[in-house]
Amino acid sequence: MTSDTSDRPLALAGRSKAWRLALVVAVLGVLVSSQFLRSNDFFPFGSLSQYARGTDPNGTVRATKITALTVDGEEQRVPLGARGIGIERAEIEGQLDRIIADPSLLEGVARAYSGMHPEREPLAHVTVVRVSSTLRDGKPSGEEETEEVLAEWTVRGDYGTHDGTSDDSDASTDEEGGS
Amino acid sequence: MRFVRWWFSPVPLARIAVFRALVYLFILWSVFNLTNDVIGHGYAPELYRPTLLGRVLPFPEPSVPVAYVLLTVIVVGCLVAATGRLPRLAGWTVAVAYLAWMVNTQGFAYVSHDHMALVAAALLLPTVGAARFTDTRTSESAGWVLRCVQVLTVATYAGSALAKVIYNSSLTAWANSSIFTWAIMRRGSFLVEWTLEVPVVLRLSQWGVFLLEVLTPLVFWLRGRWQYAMICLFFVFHLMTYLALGIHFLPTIVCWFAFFPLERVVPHAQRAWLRATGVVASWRPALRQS
Repeated sequence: MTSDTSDRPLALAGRSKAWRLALVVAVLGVLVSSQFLRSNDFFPFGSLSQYARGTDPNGTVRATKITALTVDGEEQRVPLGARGIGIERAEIEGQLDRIIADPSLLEGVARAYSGMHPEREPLAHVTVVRVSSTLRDGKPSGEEETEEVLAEWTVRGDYGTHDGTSDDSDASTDEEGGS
Repeated sequence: MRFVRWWFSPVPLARIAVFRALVYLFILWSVFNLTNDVIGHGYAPELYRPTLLGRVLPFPEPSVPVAYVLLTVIVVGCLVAATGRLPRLAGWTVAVAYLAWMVNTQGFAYVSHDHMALVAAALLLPTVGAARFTDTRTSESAGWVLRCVQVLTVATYAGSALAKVIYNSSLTAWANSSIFTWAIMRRGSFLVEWTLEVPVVLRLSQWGVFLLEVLTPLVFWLRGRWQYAMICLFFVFHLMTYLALGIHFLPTIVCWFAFFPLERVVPHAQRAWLRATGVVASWRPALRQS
C-alpha cells in the first residue's frame, strides 16, 4: 500500500471554491428563513419544528387514532406507521383539515391496509377519532379521556375478499366478488 | 479569508472514504428500517402533499412499483458507493434516488428533521470523487464536504432552538411549557411514565435540552477530548429520548462522525482483513499476499 505523504493539500481552484461558498450561503439562508416562515416546504432545509410548540400546562393533549370495521363487521384499530399501513399518525394529523373536508381521502387508508396486510380482512368503514385528555398544572388531570369522531368513510373499492384462513387456496377468487 | 480557509480546511481523503462508507451503509439500513413507509405510502397517493422539491423536480407520484424501483437503485448504489468504486456515478445515483425517496417519506404532511444533515451528506459526497481508504493526502474538497455536514449537524440543534423561540414568540415559554408531558402522554415508554406525576423533573429536562441546543455551536471552539466529550453528551441525550419516547435521531448521530478522525480505523481494519485473508492464504499456498 502506498501513501503519498506530501504535505501540500490537494487545493480547489478559485471557481470551485466560489460555487461551494455560494451554495453554503444559499442553503443556510433557506434554513434560517424556514425557521422564521415556520415552513417545512423547503425540505430538507425546512423548519426544525418537531416538538417546537410549547404546550399549556392546563391545556389538552390530543392524539388521533383510526378505527375501522372490516367487511365482516369486526371492529379494528388500524395500525399506523411504517409496519402498519405505512402512513404515520403524524401524517394523518398533519392533514386533518383536508381529511375532514374530503373524507374520501380515507379510501387510501383502506387500500394501504389491504396492500400492507393482504392476509387480513379488508376494511369496509374507516373512522378518524380524536382522543383528548386534559392537563392540570402540567400533570394528567385524571379526568376521563374524551373521544370525538372527526371523519368517516365507507370504503368504495374492493381490496380483496379474503376469508382469513385459507391462504393461496384459489388466488383468482380474490379478484372477483363484490361491487 | 480566515472564514474561507475554515470552510475548506483540508482533511485526509481516507477520512472521506471511511465517512462515505459509513453514510452509504447507514442509508442502506435506514431505507429498510427508518423510512420504509415509502412502500405503504405507495398505496395511498391521495394523501401525498409534496414539499417544494417534490412539486418542482420530476419525481414520480408515489406508487408501490416506484417504491421498489427506488429501493433497488438505492441498495445497489449504496453497496457500490460504500466501497469507493465509481464514486461519482454511484454517488450521484444514490443522491438522486435517495432524495426522491426522502421527498416521498417526508411528503405526507409531516416532516421530521433528523434527516437534514444526512440528506445533505448524500448530495455532497459525490463532489469529492476518488478517495481511497489508504490515501493520506489531504484535500480541500473533502474538507468542505465534512465541514458542511458538521455545520448542518450543529444547525439541526441550534436551528431547532431558534424554531422553539419563534413558534412560542418567547425565549422561555417552550422550556416552561408542558411539551414533555404532552410527548410522554402521546408516546411515552413505561420507563418514563412516572415522570408525569413529577412535572418539575420534566420542566428541568426541558431547560436542559433547550440550553444544550443553544450551546451546540460551541463544539466548533472545543478541541480534542473536550470536543469529543460534548459530542458524546449529544449521544447520551439521544439515548435518553430513545428510551423515553422511542425517538432516536440516528441519522443525525451518524453525521456527528464527520467530526472524528475516522481514517485512524483504517490500519486496524486492514490488519483484521489481512488476518482473515491470511487464514485463507495459509491453506491456499498458491495465493500470495500482495
